[in-house]
Amino acid sequence: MSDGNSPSLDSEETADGELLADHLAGSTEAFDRLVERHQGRLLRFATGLLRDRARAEDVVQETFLRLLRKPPAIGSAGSAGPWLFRVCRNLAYDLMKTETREQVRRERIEAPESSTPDELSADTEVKALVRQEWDLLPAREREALWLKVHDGLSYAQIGEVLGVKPGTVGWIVHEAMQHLTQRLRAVQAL
Amino acid sequence: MTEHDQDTPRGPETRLTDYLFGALNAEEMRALEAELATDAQLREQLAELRRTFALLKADAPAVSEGLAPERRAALLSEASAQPAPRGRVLAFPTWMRAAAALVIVAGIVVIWKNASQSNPETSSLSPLGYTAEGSSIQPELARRDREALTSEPAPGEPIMLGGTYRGPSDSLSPAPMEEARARAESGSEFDRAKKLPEALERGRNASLGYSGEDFDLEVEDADASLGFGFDDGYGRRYHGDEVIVHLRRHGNESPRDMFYRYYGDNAVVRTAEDPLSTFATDVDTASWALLRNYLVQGHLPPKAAVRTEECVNAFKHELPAPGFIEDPEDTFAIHLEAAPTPFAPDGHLLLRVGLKAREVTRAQRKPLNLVFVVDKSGSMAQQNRMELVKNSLELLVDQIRDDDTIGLVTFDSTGHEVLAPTPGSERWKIREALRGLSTGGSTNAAEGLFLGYAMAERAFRKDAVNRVVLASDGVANTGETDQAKILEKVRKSSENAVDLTTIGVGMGNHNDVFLERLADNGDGSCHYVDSMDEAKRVFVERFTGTMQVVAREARVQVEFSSGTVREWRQLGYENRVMKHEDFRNDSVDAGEIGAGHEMVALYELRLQDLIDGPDTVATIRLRWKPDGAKEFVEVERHFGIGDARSRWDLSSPRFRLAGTVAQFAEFMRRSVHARGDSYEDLQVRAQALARELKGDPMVVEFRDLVDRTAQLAQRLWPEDELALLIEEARRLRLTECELESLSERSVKAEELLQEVRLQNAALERRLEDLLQPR
Repeated sequence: MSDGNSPSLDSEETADGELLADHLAGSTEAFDRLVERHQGRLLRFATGLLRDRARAEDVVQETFLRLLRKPPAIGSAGSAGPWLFRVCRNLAYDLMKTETREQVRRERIEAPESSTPDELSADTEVKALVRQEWDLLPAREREALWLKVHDGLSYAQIGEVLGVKPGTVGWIVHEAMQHLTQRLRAVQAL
Repeated sequence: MTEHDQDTPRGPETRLTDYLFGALNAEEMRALEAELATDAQLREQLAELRRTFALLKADAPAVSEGLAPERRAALLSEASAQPAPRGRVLAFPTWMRAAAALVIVAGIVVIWKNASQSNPETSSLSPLGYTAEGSSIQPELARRDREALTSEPAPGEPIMLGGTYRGPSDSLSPAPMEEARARAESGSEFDRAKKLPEALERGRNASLGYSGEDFDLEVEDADASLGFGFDDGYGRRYHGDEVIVHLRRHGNESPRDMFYRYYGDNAVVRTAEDPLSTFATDVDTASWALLRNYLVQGHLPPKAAVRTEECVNAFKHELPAPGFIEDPEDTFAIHLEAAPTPFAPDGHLLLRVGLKAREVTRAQRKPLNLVFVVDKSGSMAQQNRMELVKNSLELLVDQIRDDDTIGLVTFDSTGHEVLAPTPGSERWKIREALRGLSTGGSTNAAEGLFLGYAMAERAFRKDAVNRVVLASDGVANTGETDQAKILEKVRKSSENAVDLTTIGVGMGNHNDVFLERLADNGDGSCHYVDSMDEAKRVFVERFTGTMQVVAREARVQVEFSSGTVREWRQLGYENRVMKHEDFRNDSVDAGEIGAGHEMVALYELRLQDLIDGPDTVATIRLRWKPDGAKEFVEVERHFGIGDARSRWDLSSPRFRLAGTVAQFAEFMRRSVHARGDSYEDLQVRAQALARELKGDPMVVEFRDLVDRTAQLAQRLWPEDELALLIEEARRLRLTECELESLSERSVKAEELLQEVRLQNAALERRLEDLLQPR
């Protein structure tokens, strides 16, 4: 998409599968190219899940370590993208699990104070609403939509990341879009 | 960018989204575009979707291109060292933050697994290496290590207590027993599904104070009869030798049975050992009103009076009725929600299984054939109990229709038929009969019930709801006082489709357990009414649900996936547990659910540290007989990790309310699982919920109750020497029981067992000293 380094799309470059094979044959450079190619989108994805850059980097780094230690079997023309997203996602969840309790305590469980309406322009208000509604989406919908909107993955690829059928991805994405659209409509009607 | 996913069938509803995201094939696209050209509304919908998409797209996080240089360098150096020996992981760089210790844990586990495979007899006791050389119990350090790392399913940890018990006396945490665990995996001694219900039955009998034929009505404090009442919150009782006997293993008890006998709570179960939770549904709410009444009067309730599930179910859950997703004709809508719970250590999820029965309107409901059976014994004169009953029943009479009938039976020393079944069109007669009630005499509940059932059966109508409504303070003391026999009679009648609702009033000698069991056995519900507000809730707001059952013999089975869930524990429903194999045995009695009723079951799950493979958390099965039907119906739902909320505060308010109420109940029943938790934390949460749900008076009341109880709560877990010693002894005894349960013991396990036995003997001697009459 916009960043132009989507693994599934840059056919001019060496495919992930080939790079991975090179890496296994001893090419450190091949591995570095894989990192280069995927780190941006993984970081955005992980940051979206974890809402914290440092922890997202932890997770992405660990994702690449997994790639080193337990490389997936992808064909020589295949993309490592879905596998990387899947591992990254699982690691992010693992991390969230270990952190939640402490974090919640720290936040003192007060409902977040929202800014007063007149401080906000209509634009930021809509943006805040989008974020709020985004956070309230079930995790699965959030992830599927994220991968669609920000990474342009196909339903089949998203299905691979989430471990569901492509048709199900269609539903998930549809549900999420419907929900967000309805909420926005409701607000704009005010 | 598009590749078409046309091989997957999707409904026409999703096509706009599919179009937007380029997931339609050429033909579908043409068809849709043709439609768009003529349909302005469709165009508007698409435009809206585009706007949403644009907003999302514009809100992409600004993240600079890649990993920090040092991270990338670390990756590169790792890459150049490939293939790395597994051991490298351990020494892996210090940049890894403690919170992200996943790698380290994974690495250690791998190493440890390898070691244990290669040399099973001499490997160390723990994956963390803290007892490498010996079998001695090195508790505190071990525990800290374990908690710090949230380690992988450790062969080393005690089976039952897992990471959940977090009391101040934790310092005697049983040492890990790797060998023991390894054997337990292969052995089949843990036949829990079979043994647990028997143990529960024993436990129930014990808590009712009778075993077999002897029913002791005098026992009010269940804790006392469970062995000793040292933690009953008021009057402490120590029973000398009984304490020692209670601590010892009874017969061939399994660790889980023993846990239940000690604490009366559901144990934490390892999924690998038993992935199933099977229980009968229960929509009773009596326990909450009872608990409230105790607390308002400044007392801690006896432990047995607090039933977590009833407290939770007393609150509104606002679950949508069938028709939202399900067919409106369906009996149930099932609502699942999960989020990381703040009431357990990290890595725990709270799972809510919510059922909402279909609604039945007043006009739709079946006609009623009700018989009131009212206790007018002397004790009912106290505290205006009789007035409360009369007013409650009058409220109920307001709700009836002309085609309903109501009869009235009273009992004191004997039973009396006061009013033959009378149609709603003559409700003035019913009111008059109710107003004429007075009190006096002893309590012959059995005769009253028998008369009531006889009357209901005489007026029996096939198309109607046939129900006896028993109002009493619940203590039978004349005539047939054998609860078992009364229950048998009730059960027999209920096969004639006469149901039972019990209404408990009064305190002190209110025998709550008696009424609950009566209702459970009579296919009915149990309510405790302590005020007119409560009476309104039961008889006005929930009237149709209380009266008309939509599902009979409803039972739930939750199957946890061991790849995802390491341990699970059900909150409440202790006395509703069923044998797993009885889930599909339709002759076994289960629960009834009324129209519009909500039922919530909560589980605390400890997830696997590393989830590999399918992400299913649990499969939920619900089986019931629709009212009036002959055949059972079963439905199944799946819940995946991706369906869970990522944070507690992102879950729905009613979900958080259920979890918080359950936690309060766990405190009040001195649940071993709540020890060491923070009551203040609970207070803060209750306050936040009351702000968020301020339209719901029950939530506001909940907050007030939690606040009011703060002082009392300090007395929940007395921490004197004796209590602590008993705690320690229990934990050690459980360890001993686990070891003894192994079919074969390795040398190591044998040594450990000897050691634990020695420690137990020493503890017993200290206890004996302390328990000597002074």
